[in-house]
Amino acid sequence: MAAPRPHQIAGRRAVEQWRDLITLLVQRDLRVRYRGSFLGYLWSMMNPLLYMAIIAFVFSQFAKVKVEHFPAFVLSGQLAWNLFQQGMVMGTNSILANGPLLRKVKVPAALFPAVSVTSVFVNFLLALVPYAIVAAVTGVRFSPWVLALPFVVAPYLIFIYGLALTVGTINIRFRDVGHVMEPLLQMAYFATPIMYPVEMLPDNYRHLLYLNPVVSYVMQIRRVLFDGMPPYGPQLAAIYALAAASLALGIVVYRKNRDGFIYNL
Amino acid sequence: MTVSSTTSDLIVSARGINVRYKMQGIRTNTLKEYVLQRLSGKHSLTTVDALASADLDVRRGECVALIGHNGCGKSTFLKVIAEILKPRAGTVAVYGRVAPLIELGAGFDPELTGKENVYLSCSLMGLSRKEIDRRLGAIEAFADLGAYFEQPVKTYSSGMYMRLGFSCAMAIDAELLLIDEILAVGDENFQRKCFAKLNEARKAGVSIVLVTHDLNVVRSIADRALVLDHGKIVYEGKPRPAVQYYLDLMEIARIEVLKPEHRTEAQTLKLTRKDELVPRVPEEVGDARLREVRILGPDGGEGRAKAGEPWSIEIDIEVLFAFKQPPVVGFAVLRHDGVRIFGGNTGGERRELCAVGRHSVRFSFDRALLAANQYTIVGAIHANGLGQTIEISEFANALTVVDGGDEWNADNDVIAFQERLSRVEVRETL
Repeated sequence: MAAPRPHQIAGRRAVEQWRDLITLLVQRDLRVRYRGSFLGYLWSMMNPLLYMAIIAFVFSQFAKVKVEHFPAFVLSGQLAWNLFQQGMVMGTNSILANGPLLRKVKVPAALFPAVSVTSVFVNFLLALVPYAIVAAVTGVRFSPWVLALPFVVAPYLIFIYGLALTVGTINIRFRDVGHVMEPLLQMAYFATPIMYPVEMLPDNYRHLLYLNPVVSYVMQIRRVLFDGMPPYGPQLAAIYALAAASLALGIVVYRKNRDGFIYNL
Repeated sequence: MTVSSTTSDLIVSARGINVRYKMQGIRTNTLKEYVLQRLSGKHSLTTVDALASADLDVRRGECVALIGHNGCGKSTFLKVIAEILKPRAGTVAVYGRVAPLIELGAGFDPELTGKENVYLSCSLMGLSRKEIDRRLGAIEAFADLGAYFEQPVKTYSSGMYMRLGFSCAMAIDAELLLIDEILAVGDENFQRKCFAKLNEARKAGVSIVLVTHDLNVVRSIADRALVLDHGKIVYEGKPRPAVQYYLDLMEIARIEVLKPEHRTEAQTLKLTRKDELVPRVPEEVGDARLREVRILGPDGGEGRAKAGEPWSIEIDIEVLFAFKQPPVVGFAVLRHDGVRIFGGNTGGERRELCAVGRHSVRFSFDRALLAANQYTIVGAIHANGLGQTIEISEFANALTVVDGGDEWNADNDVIAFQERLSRVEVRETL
């Protein structure tokens, strides 16, 4: 009689196994990233703070952006953006980088972008600590709507995963994708209202801005985190729809290509 | 005497496997190359069949070796069985838990320590954290890396790498081990440990598919060997003839690269006989292995019999290649000093022993006639009547006979005297 395959055992055991596996892979990502550094995990918190300090200084001194609590404003946008940027950079490379494993163990390649997104999410959670400090120091009013954060971050993670899975899959066949990622992300960064409020833009440009799907996520996260307001209905619907579309795209592209992975890794 | 057979169940069944690689250099890595080649019509013209219509069945507890020249498709075959590589054509069915490919440069993360890699590796193979916690001690002990266990794997030597990989793979209780040329790296002691562990696993019914260039290993542990040549299985059979076939192939390849005027006469002759090399044919004579010999006493206790009461010998064999003439399964009972007391066999007419699979032969005795002592039982398989010995059990089974009538057997009798003695008379004579 055939014994059940490890990855096919139904129920709690399978859940436990996958949870442990993802946990271990995320731990590996974090450990490897910070191995040999003195501050270790603190870097996850320091990095966005440094960004914030530079941007807040430059913009308040030279660009004369008038926003209340500007450092916290910038930081909230930066945190939301970092989730996307790091998720895409790591996710795009994740399948390729785990080539040695995929050549050895039967494990679904789609797991690795998920691990990337999870470890980036852990970073995000860590970075919420300095955000809370900055917000408290600069006197941002606390609002219970911050508790709605999971409901806007969850579709964001799915959106990032779907996109990272798509791009990560294509990257195996055409390594160009990895190279084009950096300038694309840089462009998207400036086309996202992180350092400036969206209201600053003239109306016709503003509509153009919404073509960038990341904008809706960043705005919604900032809305609950910084503005302390409930999520905005139509945009909330949009980010869930975008997440579903991104995931669907990822799954379709992945399924079509996965059998060829091993030949190109 | 009774013979009972079970159809041995397969753990791997691969049929008509075809794997095609695009040649390096034709394969495109960038979009530009891809578009250019599509346009110029050069795209994916040069391919090589790493495997062509290859079949493989592996039974439980069997060890199959794959041998052949470099690049003949051995490792590709392992990857197909591990379901890492999806073949272009053909089907693979695996009925059990497979350990990952155990190969050099196992998929460890060089930055993580040995211990962290154990968790990662075992978790990838489907163990939960708790299960790994339980096995960690055994893995650490078997790998025997000392302080290196807590060091990053990038500081390991290739032998240490392999030790850790092997220990992890053995710890997951797989039913199928796929081993790619690893045993060569460990030092003498670790190699011995590995072989002992592999043998232990096989006794427990674990199957092994082995890729190696160490022909002594093939001869000593494989039940069956496949010779691959440029992606095709060209020979399948017993390890010894398979190794010989492979060596012949290699020699011909060596001669072929020589210029005709540099060949000796013998070499030229060998070349002309190339086609006479045994083609891929099923073995004329079957092959079988002894798996277990058991002694059952009256109370069902193993290894014991009681004088005057029924007992039996059971011999389990596995037929690896079907026989045309039934093989003969036999036993012999030896005294502690090696003197043969008696023996018996199935005779050459038990056709049910011809079929591939596991068979159990039982020799039953109405009553034990042996005197109280220690004896040894040996099992054997013969073919062609008794003309050819296939295997004689190396494991000598001990039989202890107890005799209520003569408990101590101080005189070292062989036959239980009390049993045959019907009457003792004492008469006066003149």
